Amino acid sequence: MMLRLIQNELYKMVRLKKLYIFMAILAVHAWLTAYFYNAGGEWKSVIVVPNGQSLPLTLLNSMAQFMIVFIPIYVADMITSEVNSGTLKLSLLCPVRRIEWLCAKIVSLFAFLVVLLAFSIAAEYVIGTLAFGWGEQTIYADTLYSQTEGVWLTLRLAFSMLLPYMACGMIVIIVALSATNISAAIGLSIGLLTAAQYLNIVDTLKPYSIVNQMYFFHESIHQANIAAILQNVVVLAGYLIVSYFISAIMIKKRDFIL
Amino acid sequence: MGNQVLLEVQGLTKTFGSRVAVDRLNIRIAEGDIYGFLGTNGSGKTTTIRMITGLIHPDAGEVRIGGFHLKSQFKSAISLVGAIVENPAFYGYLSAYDNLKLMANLYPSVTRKRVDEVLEIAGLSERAKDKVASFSLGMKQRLGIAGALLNQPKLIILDEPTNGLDPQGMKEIKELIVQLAAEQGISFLISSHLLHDVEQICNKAAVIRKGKLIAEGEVKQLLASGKETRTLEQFFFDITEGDGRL
Repeated sequence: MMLRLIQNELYKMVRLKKLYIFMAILAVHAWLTAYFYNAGGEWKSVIVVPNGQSLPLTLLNSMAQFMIVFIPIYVADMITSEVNSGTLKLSLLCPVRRIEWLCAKIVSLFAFLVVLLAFSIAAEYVIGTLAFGWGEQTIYADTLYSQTEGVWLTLRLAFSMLLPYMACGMIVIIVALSATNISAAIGLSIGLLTAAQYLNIVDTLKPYSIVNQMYFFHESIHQANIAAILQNVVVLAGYLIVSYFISAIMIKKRDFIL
Repeated sequence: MGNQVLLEVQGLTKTFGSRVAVDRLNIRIAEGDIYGFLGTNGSGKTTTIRMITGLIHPDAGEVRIGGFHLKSQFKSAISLVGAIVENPAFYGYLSAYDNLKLMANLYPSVTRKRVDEVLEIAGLSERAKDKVASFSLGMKQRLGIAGALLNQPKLIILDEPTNGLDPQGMKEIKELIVQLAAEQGISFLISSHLLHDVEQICNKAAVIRKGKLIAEGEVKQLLASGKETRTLEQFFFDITEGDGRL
């Protein structure tokens, strides 16, 4: 049953216009970054050395600022909207346990993030190459990598971000389950994530800030600092596990007055 | 009608804050019964249906469907049920066919052919590929009925099934209910405000008031229970003591 529920969720995801709008926004952002560099030089852009193979890594930090908005919108649509509109009944009046429904939603969120990350890497490679050419080597954090190393590093760092993004999504799921309507779910989630940025001010709290992790988790992977990686993974796993259990209890106990 | 009890509700109770929405309710529906569930607005009909379908948790009491305990054997119990609870809701950005396909996917035994069949039964074959967002309330109601029929259930629960339907649509739905009960032995639990319709198609009825069951039995017996034979409407207003707002 889980597989069938997941199939349904993935089908709904690919039929949702929002996914394609988010993809378009990411592509336009990459194009604007390249355009402004070409138009005005590096002072107008985050690009230091222009080449296509380096662009996805250059823009990896900025992906977080989009995800802070995209994740709440997607989760609110996937959960709060279903509860409010009553489409939740299409699943819950079938032989489906509530916990299976929740797990299918979590898999859907994961698939959504994978699709967006894969698309952004592909789009940034294409846009970067069209704007600057592919280039000789990948440049990241003042280090040069061969083309193969660069592609591998890009994939490794970009997809490592699935962990903080998923942790963020799981926190947003709790908000979405509590919110009475889709606007409240999106507003509260974005508000919560914006407020969480202030944890970054206190150095000792920084590693525990989900927003900090969303911006910089890949850097600990890049530096291959085992202690830092372990600490970050434990923090994110904590967010994931605690959020999952809270969501599971909420969904199990909730009365659906649809 | 058959003797085997399909739905058995015992001592079902639900409170919201200090308000008792459903108070120790007992219902028994046998195979082939068409059971009318009547009550004024806010009397507890929809809350009862939500508890029978597992959407809300009762504070006390139990529900058995086909002998399966709803709480501990949820999947087996709910597999026997098709339902429209409150308003039928669908994904507006998907077609009628796609919506049913998603539902069908959750029943291993339901085939694509069955999706076409129920669309035909609901009179929606020609609009199957249209997005549900373009449907009228009546068409959504028909689609809801198609969805309720999808898994060939033994019990169909319909909460105000003729809401939004035109007179022809209402007539067709009533005929369909009678036909399915007679030919396939499907039982129906129908909550409705339309007393005349309930009188026409239901063999049993119950009246709920302020969460309590105040009358239940064969429709014919209920109507003959006074000094003279009454219509269901007269009966309803008599037993709700003039509080029979519909």
